[in-house]
Amino acid sequence: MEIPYTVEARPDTGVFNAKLGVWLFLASEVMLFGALFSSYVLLRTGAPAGTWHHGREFLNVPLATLNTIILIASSVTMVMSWASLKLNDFKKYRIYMGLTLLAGVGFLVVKGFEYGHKFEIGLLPKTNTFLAIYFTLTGLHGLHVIGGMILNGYFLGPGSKMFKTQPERFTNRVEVAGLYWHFVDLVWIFLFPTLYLL
Amino acid sequence: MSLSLRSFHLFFIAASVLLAAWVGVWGVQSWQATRSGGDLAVGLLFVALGLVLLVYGLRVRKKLRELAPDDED
Repeated sequence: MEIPYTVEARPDTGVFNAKLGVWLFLASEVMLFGALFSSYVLLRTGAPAGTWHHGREFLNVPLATLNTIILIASSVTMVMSWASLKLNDFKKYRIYMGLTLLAGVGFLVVKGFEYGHKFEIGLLPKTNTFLAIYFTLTGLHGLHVIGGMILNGYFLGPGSKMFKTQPERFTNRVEVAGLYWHFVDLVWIFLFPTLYLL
Repeated sequence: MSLSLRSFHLFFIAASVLLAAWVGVWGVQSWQATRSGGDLAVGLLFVALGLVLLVYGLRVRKKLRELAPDDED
């Protein structure tokens, strides 16, 4: 049995099924991160005057800046990998997807360094409310980065065989993975100023 | 705005430019308040990043439209 609407748009939705599926999933993700952001705002505004610990007391802004640049660059390489498939250039696709994967590794290495340093000096989630919400938000975001890397790794490795038999379907799959990756990057664009600068 | 990767990418670049501008302002204000050279450096780095992203966004908008002509902004 053939799966319908993997390449052509479904008439009633105007998009292929996987794209509709990923946008519904991203809507649920907005609710998840939205709830955590709201918790942060409520905890911060509800804290008695002078008791809230600001991120700048504990966090490393230059390292977070580096991670912001890494993630923005990865969104560029991700869209370039999709564009390469559109142009039927599989070699370039592999290069750009490899770079996207490498950027994900770079982000996690920097984050791991940050976490490791905090644990070493005894800054743990139980230390104060700010660090509790910091580790929750960045930890959940980090898990999403790992999820995106597994997906991208599959499309760089075994999953890429589909390009030989069904190039349009594979291109659509990479577009859907790109939408997810952009969402993960966008969450960081909100996390960085909220946690590190404000 | 369509649900395409092209549109989401352009939206993401626009959000990044806004972030860069905001961090630029934050860096200058923080430097004025604390004389911290590090904050000013971060702010200036983001201003430069924002300018690069702005130019990139304008260029890639046209190029990606050629690849996916059915997508709207």
